[in-house]
Amino acid sequence: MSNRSRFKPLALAGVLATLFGLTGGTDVVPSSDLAAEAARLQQENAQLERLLELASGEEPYLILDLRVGSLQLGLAGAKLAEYEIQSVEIGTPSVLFVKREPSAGWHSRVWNGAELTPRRQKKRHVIEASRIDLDDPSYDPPIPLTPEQAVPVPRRFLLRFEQGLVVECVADDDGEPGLERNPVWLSGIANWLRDAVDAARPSGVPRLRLHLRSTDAAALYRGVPEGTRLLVLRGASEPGSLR
Amino acid sequence: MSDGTRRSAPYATAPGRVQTSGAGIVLRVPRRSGRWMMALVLACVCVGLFVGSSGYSYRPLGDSDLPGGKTASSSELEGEVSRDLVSQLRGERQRLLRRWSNVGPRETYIVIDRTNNRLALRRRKETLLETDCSAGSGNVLIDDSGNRKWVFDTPTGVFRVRMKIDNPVWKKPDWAFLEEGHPPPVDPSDRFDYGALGEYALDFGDGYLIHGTLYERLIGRGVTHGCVRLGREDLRKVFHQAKPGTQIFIH
Repeated sequence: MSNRSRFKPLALAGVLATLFGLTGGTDVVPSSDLAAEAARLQQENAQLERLLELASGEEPYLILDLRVGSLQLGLAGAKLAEYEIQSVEIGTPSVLFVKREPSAGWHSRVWNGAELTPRRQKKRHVIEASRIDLDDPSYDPPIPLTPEQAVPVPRRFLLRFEQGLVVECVADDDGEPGLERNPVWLSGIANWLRDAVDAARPSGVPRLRLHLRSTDAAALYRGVPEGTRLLVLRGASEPGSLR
Repeated sequence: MSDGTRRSAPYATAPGRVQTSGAGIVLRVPRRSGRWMMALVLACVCVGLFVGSSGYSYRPLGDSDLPGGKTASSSELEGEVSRDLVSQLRGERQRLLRRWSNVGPRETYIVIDRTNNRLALRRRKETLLETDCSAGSGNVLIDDSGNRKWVFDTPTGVFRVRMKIDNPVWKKPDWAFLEEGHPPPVDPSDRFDYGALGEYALDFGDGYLIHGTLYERLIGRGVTHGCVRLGREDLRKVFHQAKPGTQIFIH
């Protein structure tokens, strides 16, 4: 047999294998790479669907993007504000020394109806028109307030979502002039009690603690609308963020 | 007195009395306030135990804390994955990305943070301007003679620029006169104020404007009656970038 004829069947087999490779998509491939790729794509698609759901809604929303360490406030697909996250911690609840592991997939959903705790309270001046007399030197018109004066910001505040997720935001430094400086022991006891009650709730949801610079924490506390929704984005998603 | 009577006696006896049981043990029945005190101490111990043993233990968030969720994990998919499925998922992803690229404002838009008194001008991912502004004071004005009340808040939501105005003239509403301690004028021509709104104004509906001010030193404070004030230079930039239809997001 000549060299040429010896290679003919091999060449034919090669061509067939290539053709099979190009067209052959219907049979099951027990490849773990393929399975991992499919799982990744499924997760990314699910995240994209949730992003689209948020962006097409009428409520404002927060996107906690763990990949880039940011928390973005959005509305109808527009970026309203962005807050840099220094670090994120996860808190697992325990009741009477018994730890409760969070339910699987707690993060892969949209959380609705954020409520600020403590509630944001804007100081308002009530002015009676009949008492206004600009010619009277004793008349003291209200001086317009700065944001720091109008809305004091606690060092630690919570965003509570309807389905049980609580995001705790902590200002890591003292840079922001509007931070409230309550006695540590007093707020400590209140926080301790509140955390114990939260942990005992049967939601099976962990708590997230976000560490922010005080300026970002203050801007978030003052700027986040009540009723905001939340989506937590995992690492490998694209577009991943609104930027 | 029989033993049986004595044993049931402590519960029927007035608090504070000393009773001797049948076995000769002296029992002191606590006074009512003492019982309350004991209940309080017990409650405190229970609450302390609950609070001390309940709460959250924190650790840095890692990938293991964010498992696949409702979608199938790779181990679940193994053995049944075909190339068809993967290409189908890729196609789905492309479709979603195309939809995502059409989400949000396509042109320049304005964002106003009314509590922090900040305004941003953005186009897609780019921030063109970020500056201080002045939004509503939140003050409440009560006109007791006419039973009227105004709350000076800037509205929240999504708005659009309706009209661009050069050299706007302010037609002062009743509250502007009441606030100065004067009754509203009878002659409508007395309501016009020239120059108070600066060089330009962007009308975004219901009488609300983005405009300039004579009092630039107050920019950054909540001072307005619901409009949004900008400094002269910032107003020029915003005015020239905006056009009728430009979206305004206020939160």
